[in-house]
Amino acid sequence: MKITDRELWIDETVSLYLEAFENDDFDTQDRIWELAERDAELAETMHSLHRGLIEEQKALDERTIARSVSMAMPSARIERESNGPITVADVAEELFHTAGKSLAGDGYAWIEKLRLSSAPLPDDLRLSKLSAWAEAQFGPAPAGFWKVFHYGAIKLEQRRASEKEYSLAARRAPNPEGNE
Amino acid sequence: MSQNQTHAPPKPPPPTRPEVELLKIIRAALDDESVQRNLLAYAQSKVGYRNAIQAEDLVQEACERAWKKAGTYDADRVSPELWIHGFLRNIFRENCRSQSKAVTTSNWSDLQSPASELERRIDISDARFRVQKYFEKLPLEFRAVIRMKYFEDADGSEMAKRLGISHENVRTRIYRAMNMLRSLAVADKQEGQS
Repeated sequence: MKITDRELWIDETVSLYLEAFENDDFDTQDRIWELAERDAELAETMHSLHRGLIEEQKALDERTIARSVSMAMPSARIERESNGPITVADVAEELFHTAGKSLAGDGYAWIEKLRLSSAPLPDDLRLSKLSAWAEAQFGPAPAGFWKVFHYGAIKLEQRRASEKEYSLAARRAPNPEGNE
Repeated sequence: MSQNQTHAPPKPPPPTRPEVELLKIIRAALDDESVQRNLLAYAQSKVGYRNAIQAEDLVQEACERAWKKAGTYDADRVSPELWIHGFLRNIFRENCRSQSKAVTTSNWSDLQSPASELERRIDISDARFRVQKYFEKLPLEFRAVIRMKYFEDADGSEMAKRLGISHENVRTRIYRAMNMLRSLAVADKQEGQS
């Protein structure tokens, strides 16, 4: 383990603070803020924890809405902003809507499991590399599953690339004469 | 008693800052945007980000109380921001009491001890041991952040990029994972005792 004692001390202290905050334990909170009075880094980390808690609430709301939409309209696809890397959950979501009969056996149970993983895909998407990576992360899947997953990953990557190109092409070109 | 011993005159009390100066310090802190942002983040993370107006009201009340008491501020003991923060925590404490809400105290507050005692009890070698022993028992999303931070030495922004979430969210996950590791260790200990 490479972490320094200082970092670990801050993590341990802030995790205790989080527990106290969520349990309305104000005495412990006060004591930890007292420590923060002489430790600016600890104070900043505690402030940033509160910003993180707000983001966590927003993400939870987003997931609740998405779940309600997919329960009410199972065939609907929720389009999300595609700024970040493609994650395992993104591919699983794609397969959930498009794979159909190509998922044999308990393939759908695997999809459900993978929908919860926010791990980004590796850079090398060749079938052999992707399968080895995925098996190391999630264990052995039913026969042919990683092939279907690989197909979904490639399809999604191509779609993201074309979306990016489309948004670039849709920009107004600068007028060469400088006139509006 | 030796005859050479002289009685030193009692030390004069340390000069107190004039009240005007204290008012200026507190006013500056109250007008500081980052202070306001931090206070609001505390309030919103407690009442929920959808209750923004309620959170703003609570922050406003804390600021008013701080302003009224500005003359009692001890600049040598605490920064103005953390001093004002204490008023906000007190408002939440009072709200909890008035709603007769049962306040759950963690194992740490039974000490009735000052912060220095709490500091002594934060045992990092124990934390290090817990991370190594119970890591495999964590749910996947928590395992991912712990692996990246403690075993791969990834920094916050790298983890945020790899997970596709914000830097702050990464940290929150780490602290939740730490709490989960602590619960696993406690459960293990209790099982061993029974």
